[in-house]
This record gives sequence, C-alpha cells and structure tokens, in this order.
Amino acid sequence: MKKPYLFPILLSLLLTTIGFSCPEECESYDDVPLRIDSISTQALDNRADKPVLLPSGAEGFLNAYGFRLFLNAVAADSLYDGDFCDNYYLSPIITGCHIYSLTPFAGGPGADVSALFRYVDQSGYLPRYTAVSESAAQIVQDWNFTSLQRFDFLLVQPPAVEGWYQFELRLTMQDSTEISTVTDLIYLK
Amino acid sequence: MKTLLKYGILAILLSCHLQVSAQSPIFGKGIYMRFGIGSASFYHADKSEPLVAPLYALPRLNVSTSFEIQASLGKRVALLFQFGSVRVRSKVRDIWTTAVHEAFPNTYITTDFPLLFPDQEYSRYPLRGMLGGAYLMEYQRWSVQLRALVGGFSSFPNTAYAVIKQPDSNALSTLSISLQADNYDADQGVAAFVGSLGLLTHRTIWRRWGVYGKVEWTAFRSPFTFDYVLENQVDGSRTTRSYGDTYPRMIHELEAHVGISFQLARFKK
Repeated sequence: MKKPYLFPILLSLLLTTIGFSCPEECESYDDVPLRIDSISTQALDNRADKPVLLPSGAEGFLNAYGFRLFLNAVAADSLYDGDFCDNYYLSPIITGCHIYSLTPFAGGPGADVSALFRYVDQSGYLPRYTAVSESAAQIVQDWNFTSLQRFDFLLVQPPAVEGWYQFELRLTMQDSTEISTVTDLIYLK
Repeated sequence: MKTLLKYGILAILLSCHLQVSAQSPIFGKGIYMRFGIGSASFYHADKSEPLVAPLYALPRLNVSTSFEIQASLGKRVALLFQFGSVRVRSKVRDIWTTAVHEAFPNTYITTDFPLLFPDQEYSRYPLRGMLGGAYLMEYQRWSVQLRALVGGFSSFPNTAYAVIKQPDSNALSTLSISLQADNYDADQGVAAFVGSLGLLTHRTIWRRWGVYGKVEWTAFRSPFTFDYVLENQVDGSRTTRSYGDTYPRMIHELEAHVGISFQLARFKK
C-alpha cells in the first residue's frame, strides 16, 4: 500500500532535526557599549548555606548581614534592540567601589567601611571573598544586555552592638563620575 | 570489516570446538578461555586521609569481572593473558560529602566534582590488562595453578571542591583537593604498572567445560599526588598539604573470583 504522505513527513522530520541540531553561528559581531541605567540594593540574610534576600523592613542579623547590589544596563544607543552575537561592555567602566557607613559604626557616620565587607566572587568553581576595592574589576566582566546583574557584599566584621545601620555603596566610573546607592535602614540584632 | 572479523572468530572457535573430541584428555596442551566475576578490594596508604582516599575511586568492596586466555604449553607451564574491570559501587559523591561533614561538623557543606557530570554518582571503572605465566599441577579433573602476571592498570581519579559555611555567620571556607598524575588523560585516566600473584583452582565438569575459583593479590605504585587547599575566605589564611614522591604510595588489590572455563583448542602432540 502506497503512502504518499510518508516521504514528506520523514523529510520534514529530518530537516527539523537538522535545524535543531545546528547551532546558530555568528559570522560577525559588534562591540556594544552599555551604560548603567539603574542601581539598587536589598539586604541579605546569610545565616543558612546561601544568602537569601530579606524582605523590606525585616530585621537583619549582625553576623550574617550583607546586601545584594542590582545593576541594570542599557545600550548607549537608545535604538539598539539587542543581538545574540554582539559583545557587551560597560562604558564608562567602573574603576572603584567603596562602602560607607551612614550610621554610627566603625568611625562614625560617613566612615569608609569597605574593609569590613567582602565582595563574593562567584565566577569560579568556588565562591571567593575578595576585598571590596577589587570588586570593580569583577563587576565589569560578563555583561548582558537584558538581564539584571547581581553582586553580593557581606559584612565580615560586624559591629559589637545591635542597632540600626545603613550603608552607602559608591561606584566610581572611569570618567570620574560616581554612581551610588543607599541600603535600606536595617535593624541588625 | 567488523562483521568479517566477528564471523572469522566464530569460525575459528567452531573449528576448535570440533577438533576437541569427547575422548580428549581432560587437560593438556591447549587454549583455555575463562570468564569470572567476583569482588575486588583496594587497600592503600591514604586511608589515613579520609578526605583524600575516596577520590582515588578505588574503594573497598567492588564487583569485578575478568576475562582470560590461557595457553598451556605443556603439563606444567602456561601463558596467560588477562583483562579485567572493576565496577566501582561506592558513590563517590556521597562518601566524600559524608567525609567532609565529619571533618567539619556543624557547618553547611556544598560539594562539587568538576570531573563528574552532575548526574554521575560513580567514578569510571578502573581497567586492568596483564600478561604472565602459570605453574600447573593437574590431577584427574582438578588443576591448581600458581600464577604471576605483570601489566597495566588505569583508573580515573577525582577532584573535589567543597564550600564550608558556618551557620549564623558570613564565615566561609573553601576546600579543594585535586589528585594529580603526570600521565593523566581525560579519556583514558591514569595508567600504572602492576604486578600480581595468584592461585587458581579449576575443575572440569563436562567435556571442555569447567568451573574455577581464584584469588589474586595485585600491587601497584599509585601514580597520584594530591594537593589539599583549605582557604578561609574572610581572612585569606590557607592550609595546604601535598604528597610528594617520598610518601609510600603502594596500592594493594585483593581479588576473589569464580567463573566458567572453556577449552577452546587442543594442541597436537
């Protein structure tokens, strides 16, 4: 019995399979500059195995406090709509990162408390704590056009007394401008 | 080509089968084939290092299989070719993770094995190939053999990472232990020369068929060294250890097998 529809079905299956199995290749790409569009933070609770975001208004914990920095970047060219093959980079790049206390803590309000924090570098097999001053080099890597970038900073030398605390994170850009964000005022116990 | 080879071997086996008559002497000059299954246990010096030993992927109590060809050249002497594999039954991930929990109690542990795929629990199977000789003692249906073999052994070591997190704290340490060997190859593992002594007892049960049991002791020098790095991520302090060439790194394997034996061919006198 002839089945005239069998051959087209098999052919389309074959072509579909080939189509799915051949990855898209990029013959050319462009370097697309991005600029930081928004910056914000949210407190972290790191008492368990991994840090989790604390809801706004919740109390934190002195020995397991940190905050997550969220950065969003957009193309410098507002008409650009993204391309799978393109490379993205920040422009201007971040050259410095510092954390300041806005409440009485380790030197009073306004003191640079960067040394009391560590940046969590997740780029390798193992997480690595690095100095906040070295985090700028990590933050400029692996930018993506559409996704929000996240960077964790953990307080490793907490204050001895519980109370209200607030921090400001400042990013210094290559053109000497600064971008900053202030954490929510949080009660650490 | 493969088909030709397969049917060629079958034809040779069949002709050998026809040449050996029911009236043939039970033993004598000829070729024997054996297939056996049993257990293989590894003993090595690094058992004192509970975090390192599991990564050798040579644990106690494994199922092993062996295949061998024996060419009996006379009443007393035989040549042997033996090939075997050890099926590692221990779940490397579980064993190592348990060892890290015991070494660092009351912490959160996250482990990672970069050389194992995420869904793999076992290491790849060690393989062994050896050539040697046997001294035969035969009596009626029984044959006892003293045997000595040398050859090569390959195994697949593991590298393991652990993140050790203190509860209620940002304190975190990372641990990495990597086994290293000069001749490591990702596909073929690490090879080592081995030597083996064994005792085999064979009993013919019907025509060319027989059963056997054997015990073998195999020793080889571990080709591995390891680097142990425990790093406190808060203050950057590191604890490092490594084993160099001075450490006695002999690995011993004790194997016990039972199996079937078949006389493939008998040499004419």
